[in-house]
Amino acid sequence: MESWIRRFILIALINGTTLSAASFAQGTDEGQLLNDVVQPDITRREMDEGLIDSEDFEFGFYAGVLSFEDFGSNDVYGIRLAYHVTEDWFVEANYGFSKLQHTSYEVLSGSAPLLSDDQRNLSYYNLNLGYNLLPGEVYIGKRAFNSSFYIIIGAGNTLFADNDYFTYNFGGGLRLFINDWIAVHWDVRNHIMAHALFGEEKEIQNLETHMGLTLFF
Amino acid sequence: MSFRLTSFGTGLLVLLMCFGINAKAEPLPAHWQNSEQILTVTAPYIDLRLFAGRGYPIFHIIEKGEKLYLLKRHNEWFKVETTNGKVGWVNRREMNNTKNEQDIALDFSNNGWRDKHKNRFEIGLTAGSLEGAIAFSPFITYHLTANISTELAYTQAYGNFSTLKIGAISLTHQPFPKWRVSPYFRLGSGIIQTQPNTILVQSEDREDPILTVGGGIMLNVSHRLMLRMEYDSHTIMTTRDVNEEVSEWKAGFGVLF
Repeated sequence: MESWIRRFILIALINGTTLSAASFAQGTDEGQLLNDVVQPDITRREMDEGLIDSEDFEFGFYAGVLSFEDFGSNDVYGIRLAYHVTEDWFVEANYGFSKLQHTSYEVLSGSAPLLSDDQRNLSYYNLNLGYNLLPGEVYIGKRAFNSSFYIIIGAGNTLFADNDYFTYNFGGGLRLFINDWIAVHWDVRNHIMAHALFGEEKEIQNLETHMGLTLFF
Repeated sequence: MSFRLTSFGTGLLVLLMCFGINAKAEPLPAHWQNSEQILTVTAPYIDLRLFAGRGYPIFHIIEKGEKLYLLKRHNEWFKVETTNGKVGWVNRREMNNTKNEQDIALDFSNNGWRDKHKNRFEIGLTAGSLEGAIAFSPFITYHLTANISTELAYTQAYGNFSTLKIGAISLTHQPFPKWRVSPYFRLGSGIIQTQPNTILVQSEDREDPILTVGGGIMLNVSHRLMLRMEYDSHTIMTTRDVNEEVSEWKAGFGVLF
């Protein structure tokens, strides 16, 4: 009895496998099989990539605090335009403006102010090269946001006290993507320049931090 | 007995094959309207990432024979949607493992720096020395032909006694645009503004026309990035009897788009 059942199962198995193998072999042509394994040199058709919507530019505005040496910590507002060359590298241009406070000396001595009201208006622009150093995800509560920590370095101009000053700047920031075309930024920058407002030439470092919103287009 | 079993096996197989065919003929999502955006994967699989960059995690793969819908591009990454509604980003290299609805493989790859002619605009920044003073110039270029381009530049130089500002338009000529390291020549004209530093001296701003003859070499790093080094000789047409000649050395980069 037992051997009968064993024979029955064996026959069923053999029949089943040989049949399915045979039908499989019939269905696949040998050439087709080779094609699947070896990808031949395909002549590709040129494509106009301009037809695909691209989002390499980034434009936005920011607001924050600029601590300007000797002239207090002041509100700063600005606009930013960036172009993403690759996933790693980008260039960005910034234009910002602020209003300087009185120096401690001006306040304490009670003498005539060093700068007129107009001369306290500060504006700057710079062009920077940026690198996306730490791409990844950031979790806020239950939501995950794509993010990128980046560093920038560049140069530009600062206009205040009726004079232009060559200014280096470097810093870093965090770009948090709300979706794939809206991003929130938090940046810290250091603007380094030299001026001779107090007689001798003095190199100053002005730290700025700001939050911003940008759109990719 | 064994005959009956075989026929049962065949029946099962046919049934399975029917299911297979059914799976392939699955209707495409309704919003996949433009058939040019529909591509089929030809490689065993391609990776789908959360965002446009190799640093973002792979969360899904699209298998061979599956269809995808091309949505947009973010530099070297393409945003695609799968038939089951998964949305992710695929690298340019992997996009070559697809074919379109006419069974034609499209060329997604780029030829490195040789593709630079596809981008006509260039913006960039050079920095250097204008008669010993630090100078920097943001510029924008439009490539009229492979050889000839026109450029608008704003230069600012910080001297000890004055700040110079130059706004100039120029024509450049590249005799060998197909070389990776390519020389160029420049002819330009503009206006130079001299602003004495007010702390030291009180005097009027001056504005004079300026003529520029120069040249340099550019290195095509990629189809979007260009490095350049340049020497310019400026002639300032002053209101005095003699013209002033100043020279400028600079180096910088340009981004093509």
